Amino acid sequence: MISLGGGLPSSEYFPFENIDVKAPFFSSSLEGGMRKTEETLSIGKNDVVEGKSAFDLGIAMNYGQSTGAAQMVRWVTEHTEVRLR
Amino acid sequence: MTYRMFLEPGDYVIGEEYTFATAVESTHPLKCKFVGVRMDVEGMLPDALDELLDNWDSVARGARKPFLVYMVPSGQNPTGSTQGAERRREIYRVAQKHDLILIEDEPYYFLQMQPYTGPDTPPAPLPKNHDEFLKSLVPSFLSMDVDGRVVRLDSFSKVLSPGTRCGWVVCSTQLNDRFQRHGEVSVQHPSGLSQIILHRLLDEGWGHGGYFEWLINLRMQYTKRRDAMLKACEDYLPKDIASWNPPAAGMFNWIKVDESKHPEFGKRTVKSIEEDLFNASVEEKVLITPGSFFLAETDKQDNVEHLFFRTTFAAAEVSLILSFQGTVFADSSRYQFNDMAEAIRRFGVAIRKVFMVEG
Repeated sequence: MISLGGGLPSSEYFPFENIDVKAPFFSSSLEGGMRKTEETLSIGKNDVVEGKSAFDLGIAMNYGQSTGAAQMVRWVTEHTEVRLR
Repeated sequence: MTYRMFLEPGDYVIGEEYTFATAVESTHPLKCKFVGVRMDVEGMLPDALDELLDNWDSVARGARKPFLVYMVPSGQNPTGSTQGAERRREIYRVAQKHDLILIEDEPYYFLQMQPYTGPDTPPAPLPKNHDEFLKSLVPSFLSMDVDGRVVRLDSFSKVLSPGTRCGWVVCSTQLNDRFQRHGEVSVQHPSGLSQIILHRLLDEGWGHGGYFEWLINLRMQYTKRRDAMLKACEDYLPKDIASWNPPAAGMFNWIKVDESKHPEFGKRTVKSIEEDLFNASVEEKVLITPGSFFLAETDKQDNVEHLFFRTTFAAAEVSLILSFQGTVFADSSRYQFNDMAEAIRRFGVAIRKVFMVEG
C-alpha cells in the first residue's frame, strides 16, 4: 500500500538530526548507599529504520496518537503493572 | 480534561478542605465550584465525606449531589498529609455507598520518604531491593478498585522534571475511551520532544529497574531535606505558637500557627493576622504561602478561621555560601541546607514579632 491519504509531513524537513542526553544512572550498593555514574544517550532521526531503537526523532517529532506514542504507552503500562503487582 | 468529561455547569467537585489551588481554579471556567471536606493529618475524613453527602440539599445548594472527588492522597499540596492504607479503604467504602468517582492525583506518590525518626537520630535503613521499596509505599486507590470508579493521574513532573509536561491516566476501559476522544479534540497528543527523551531514558537507558533506583535516590534526598527542615523548625520556631506534623511524602511542611495566642485574637479577623504574618515574613526576607490561598471553598478565603502556612523543603539549594554580609546566618556547620534553615529562622522571628513575644 502506498498511502497518499494521511497528512504527515516527511521527517526529512525536520531540522533536528540528533539529540544527545547526558543522564545520571544510579545503582544501590551493598553497603546501602547509592552509586552514581553518567551516560550519554544518543537519539537519531532514523534510529528505527537503522535498527537501533524502537523509537526515533523522526517519528517523535511528527503527528502522533492522542494516547501518546505507542512506545511510551507500553513503558507506562509496564511500569503500572510492576507497581501494582 | 477530567472535569470537562464529568461536569455540568453549576456542579460541585468534592475536595479536601485545603487543596491544590489550580485544581480548584480549573473548575471556574466550567462554572463549577469545590466543596471542601474536613481533613486531619491523613487527609480527607471519610465520616465528614459521608456526612456531607448524606445531608446534601440540592435545593439549598442549587446543585445536584456531587459525585466527583478530587484528592491528592500522598504528600498532599499544601498540607503534606498522606492517607494511610486504611484511610483509603474507608474513603473507597464511602465512594461505593454514594457512587462516587475518585480522582487520585498522585504526582508525589514516589516522594514518599523514609519514616521520620526524630531530631538527631540515625536515618531509617533504605529498602533493600525494589520489591521492598514498592511494598514500603502506601497502596494506590487503584489496587482497591473493584468497581472502576478510580481515575489515577500520574505525572513525571515531581520525579523527573515539571517541564516534560508528561503524565498518564490509569482508569477503567470505559473512562479511558472517553479520555482518548477528549484528547483528540483538545491537546491532540503529548509533546514529541518530551516523549522521545523520556522514552530513551526510561526504556532504553534506565529500564524499569533503573527508574526504581532513581526513585530510591530521590527518596533518600527528600528524606534529608525534610529532616533538615524539621530540625530547623524544632530549633527556630516558638513551639507554644507554631506546630507541624512530620510529612511522610511530598514537598511540603504545613505549619499551624495558633491564632488564639495572638494578643488581639477575637478583636480582629484571623485573615488580618495572616496578612500581618505574611508581611512580617517578607520584611524578614522569607516567602511563605498563607494557608487561605489553598481553601477549596474560595469564597471562604477572606473569613479564614485558622492560621496555616505552607513551606517547601524541595527547593533550597545545597549550601555553598556559609555566611552572608549583614545577616546572622543559621549555624552552617549543623545544616546541609543553610538557606532553608535560615528561612525558617526568619519565619520564627516574624512569628515572634507579630505575636509580640520575646525571642
